[in-house]
Formats: sequence, C-alpha cells, structure tokens
Amino acid sequence: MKNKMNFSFIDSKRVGNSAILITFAGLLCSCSQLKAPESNIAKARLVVEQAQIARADQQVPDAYNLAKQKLVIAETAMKKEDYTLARRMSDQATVDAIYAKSRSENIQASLSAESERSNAKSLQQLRR
Amino acid sequence: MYNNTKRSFILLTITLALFACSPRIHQGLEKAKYDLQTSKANPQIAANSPLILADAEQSLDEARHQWKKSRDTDEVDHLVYLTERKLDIARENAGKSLAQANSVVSQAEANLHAKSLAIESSNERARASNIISQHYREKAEDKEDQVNQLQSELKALKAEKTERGNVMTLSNDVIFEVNKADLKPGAVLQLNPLIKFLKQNLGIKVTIEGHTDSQGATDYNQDLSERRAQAVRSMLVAQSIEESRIAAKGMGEDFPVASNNSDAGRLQNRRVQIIFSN
Repeated sequence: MKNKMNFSFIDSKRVGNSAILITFAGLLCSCSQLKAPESNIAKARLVVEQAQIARADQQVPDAYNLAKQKLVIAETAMKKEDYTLARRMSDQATVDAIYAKSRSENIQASLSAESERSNAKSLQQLRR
Repeated sequence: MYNNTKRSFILLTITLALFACSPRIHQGLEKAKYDLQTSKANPQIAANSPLILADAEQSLDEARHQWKKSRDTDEVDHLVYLTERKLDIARENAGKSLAQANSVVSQAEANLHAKSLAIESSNERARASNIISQHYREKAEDKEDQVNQLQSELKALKAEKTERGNVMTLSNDVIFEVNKADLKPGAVLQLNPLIKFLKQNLGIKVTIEGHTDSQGATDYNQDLSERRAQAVRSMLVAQSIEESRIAAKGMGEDFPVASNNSDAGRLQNRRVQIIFSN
C-alpha cells in the first residue's frame, strides 16, 4: 500500500514534469516557428525604392544591387518559410539600401558643392 | 573514490573542450564596438546623425546580448553587420551635411564676389561717366570762353546790347559823302574792326540797316538809306565776307533814335546800324 502510494506519487510527479516539458517544448516550437517577417520585408522594399529615387542605382550600383539581391533572397526565404533567413536578409537589405541612398546623396551633394566652389572661384578670378 | 576522481577529470576535460570550441571573443563584435566609439567621438558624425548612431548602438547591444546568451555566431554576425552598416550611414549623412554646408558657404562667397563685381563695374561706369561729364564740362567751358570772347570783341566794336541783339552804330557823316551812297576813303578804317570780327566768327550774321534824318523827301531818304546799306554790304563782300551772311535794307527816316529838331539829334539819326545774329 505504501509502495503503491509511493508509486502513484512518483507517477504524478512524472506526469507533472512531462506537462512542464511539453509546455516548454511547445513554447520552444512557437519560438523556432517565428512569425513571418512581413513588415521587415515591406520596409526593405520601401527603402530600396527610395534608394533608387535617390539615384543610388546609378551613383553607387554595387551597394544598391547588394540591397536588391538581399531583398530577393529574403523574399525567396519567405516563400520557403525560412523566416530567420528572411528576417536577416530583409534587415540587411534595409540598411544596405539606406546606406546606398545616403552615399548617393553624399556624392551628389559633394558634386554640387564642388561646382559651387568652382563657380565662386571663377567669380573671384573675374574680380582680379 | 577513484571512480569519482576519474569522473571529475572527464567532466573537467569536456568542460575545457567546450570552452575551447566556443570562443569567448567575437572579432566582429569587438571591431563594431571600436567603430561605434570612433564614430561617436567624431563631432561631425555625432552632431549630424545622432539617431542613426543610437540605432547602431542598439544593434550592437543586441549583438552583445546575443553573444553572451547564445553564442549564436550567425545571429551575432548579422547584428554586427547591421551595426557596421548603420555606422556607414551615419558617416555618409555627416559627409552629405558637410558638403551641403560647403555649398552654402560657396554660394555666399559667389554672391559676395558677384556683388563686388557689380560694385566694381558700377565704379567703372561712374569713372567713365565722370570722364564724359568732364569732357562736356570742358566743352561747355570752351563754349563759355568763346561766348565771352565774342562779347568782348563785340564790345570792342562798340556794339550795344539791345533787345534786337548786339547793334553797332556808325554815323553816316563819318563813312559817307554828303547825300551820296559812296563810302568815304576813311570808311574802311571805321569798318576794319567789323570785317576782322566777321572773319573770325564765321557763325555770325549781320543785318545792315540804313537810316536817315527827316530832312528832304521821304522817298529820297528811303532810297538813299537803301543804297547806303547796299554800299556797306558790297564793301564787306569785297572784303571776302560771304554774301549769305549779310542782309541790307533801307529804313528811311522812320526810325529815329533822337529828335530831328536839332542838329545833334539829326546827326544821331543819320546812321548805319549793323545788327549781329547767330
């Protein structure tokens, strides 16, 4: 009787442990089966577009194309439900595209600064 | 007891091996830490891109956290990549701001030079107009000199300024034979200053008027005054004064300048007047 009692106690403890394990496993599952990074990809698409508007495709084609390629990889990963890769690639595409845009704007600003400078210089020379 | 020691040794070996497998330092992470500090220390970047710097710092914190928690190299690599790219963006933004500031400075310089150029060219113009006005002033002074010269010459001719212009009066008795239109030999002497004046001032024209006193018939006086005026004209033409510059007319006895009742008055009325005009 005592043994049985003991056994049933162990048993119930096992059941409890299993329940905790199952819950934990479930949580792990839901963690590993991440949410699809829809908004990350949407953001990447948007900034790639903005980079093109800032003429990054002409001024800094390497950086711009890198962003675009990563966006394609992210979209493909999304279809394959590899959400980790999709998230990483779309986030990288985002910063690559913002970088391409900033670089392109910097180049254009520097070019126009240079032309303003030479304009000022030629006006100065006219005075002499 | 021996077993226990053996087990402990095995466990220790495994633990050491595990430590050896998972490095404590992530090279990229360390580099990103350094790069972030460098960027934050750069005033140009810190001032222009505080938000993106904060964003980079957040990515770096996440990477450190991940590294500490899981040693998930892929995820940490990814987060380090994001951090480095964000620092690149901060640098580009700072560069863009600097270029824009330089543009503004250059524009201001250009404006300054353009304005100075405008001022210099207006100075140039002012100088030119000074030269021109100086020229005209000198011309005007020349003209004034000429007029003054003319006035003094006319004065020398004893010409009087009247409302009809400058008028020179010659007495008939001095230059004409009595009752004739023939000039006396000495008349040329009287007329020489006038001839000289007309030769020097080619723009001046004259009108010669003959006048008589009221003695004798009016018609006779009219005719005589005409002939005398013509005689003076002919003499001037003979002295190479252009005909077109000289008009002559007889005025008869109708324009006395004094009373015809006295000898002195009649003497004054018998006269030839030469009226100068431009």
